[in-house]
Amino acid sequence: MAELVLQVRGLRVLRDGVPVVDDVSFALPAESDTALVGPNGAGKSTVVAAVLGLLPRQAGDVRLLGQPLSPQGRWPRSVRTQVAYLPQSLAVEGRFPLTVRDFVGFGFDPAGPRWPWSGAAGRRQAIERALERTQCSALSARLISELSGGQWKRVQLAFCVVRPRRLLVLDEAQAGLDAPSSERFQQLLLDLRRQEGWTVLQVSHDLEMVRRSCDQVLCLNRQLRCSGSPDHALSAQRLAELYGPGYVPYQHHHAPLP
Amino acid sequence: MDLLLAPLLQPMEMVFMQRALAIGVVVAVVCAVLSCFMTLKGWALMGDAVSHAVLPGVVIAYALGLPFALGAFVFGVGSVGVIGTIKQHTRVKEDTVIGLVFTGFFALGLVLISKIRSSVDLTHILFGNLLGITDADLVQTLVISAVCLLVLLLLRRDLLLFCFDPTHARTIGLNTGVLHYLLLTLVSLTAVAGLQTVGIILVVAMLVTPGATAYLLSDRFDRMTWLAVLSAVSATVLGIYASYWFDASTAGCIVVVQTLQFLLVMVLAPRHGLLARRRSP
Repeated sequence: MAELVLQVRGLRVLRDGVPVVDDVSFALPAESDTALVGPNGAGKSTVVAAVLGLLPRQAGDVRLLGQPLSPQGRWPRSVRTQVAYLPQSLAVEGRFPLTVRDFVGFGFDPAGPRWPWSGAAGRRQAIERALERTQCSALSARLISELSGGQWKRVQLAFCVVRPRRLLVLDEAQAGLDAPSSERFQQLLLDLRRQEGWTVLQVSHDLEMVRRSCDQVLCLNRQLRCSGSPDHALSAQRLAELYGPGYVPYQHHHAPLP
Repeated sequence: MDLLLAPLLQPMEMVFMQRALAIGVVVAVVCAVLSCFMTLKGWALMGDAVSHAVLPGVVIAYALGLPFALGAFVFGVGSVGVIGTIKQHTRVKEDTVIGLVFTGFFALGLVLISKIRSSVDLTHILFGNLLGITDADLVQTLVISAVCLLVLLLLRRDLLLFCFDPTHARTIGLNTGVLHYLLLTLVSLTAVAGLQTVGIILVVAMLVTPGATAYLLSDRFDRMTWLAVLSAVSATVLGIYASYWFDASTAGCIVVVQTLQFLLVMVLAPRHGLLARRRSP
């Protein structure tokens, strides 16, 4: 049996006393790509935030590589650097004086005190390599607040890839990207996942993408409604149960231009 | 030549002026580095609150014969705790809570000063006493400044990521709760250091203006930090001289020079100044 990177058992999160996520259990085998789907307000982002320790949970056992998330939402030191998170958007306000190279370098450095000028061995090479692998080398001197949406997402991938990690969590990471940027990002994610052996958990509304690239789907609507392979979980009947009877899966195919 | 240098050298023949200049420069450096983080975090109001809220702590520490940094630390961090608790349990907005708590603490400090018989001179705490610093004050200020500067240097990466996006910082394993209180503790301690130079009322200028001036001049954090230090140190030196030449309030002179620097940069900064932006809309 494959190693389980993330295990969630009986997750329950209340908002204003009302459960927004209830009794959710799932496990992510090593190097799997799992999509969390469901209608708006189903609690997808809440599950992600609770699993990352960003939101308090009322019940539930969450384990990363067998190590438990504390009730305060902190991972033990041994696994803390194994997670990376790509949110819908970061709170970058105004011109934050941080270049792409600085930002990616911060992804390499461990947390805690260190002299600003004491670069660990291989730091510079690791940054260059991460920028190269995410097609960001040309952006290295740019300010992060000057980047376009697609560039910013790639820089965040460079942040993730600059040091080895096990779990990558994405919350609608493609939101706001146009079709070509989204396609480019998805392909890059797929390549890096294979090369790095990442286990991926991604919240997505793009069911076509989920069908193409994920190997496990979790259908959520406050509780877990069903889970399994994309073909099983995303059948027309299952989707109607999840999104309501009026739901028509949107498929979009271009005819070749004359 | 002597005629030109005399106004600069003559004040420095006096020991109290040498001390004022030395300690003023040290405090300016610490405040400037911290001000870069405060500017990026958008914590000017919080800096104002904490620096005012340390007053009762300083008075109590004086009265009990304890180091005033201790009292300032307890009340500075305590005020932040009170702000957080009120915000969490009422519907009142944060800026209102901050305004309410720091004036309350400050008023308590005024009451204590008026009731506790001690050697505390109110005007020295409120407006600084750079020209009358004792040996004990000197040592205490130097120790506080060195500790703050060391923490800021060693945790530069973590603090910068925290200012950038606390949520992101947390997901990559930083203890943002600790960083939040650490930054506020540094503000409390720096307020105590700044108390000697410009006093409690104006110390917030030292914690905000150099960072804001440097932010208009550079898009790189390291360069911004150096520019903030340059701005704060030059304002302190010029301010001390100005106060000597014009026989005016030292704290007032330092902060007026800082503000003038900001206004000048706001108009003339090469990329982000008003003139440059008018030329290239």
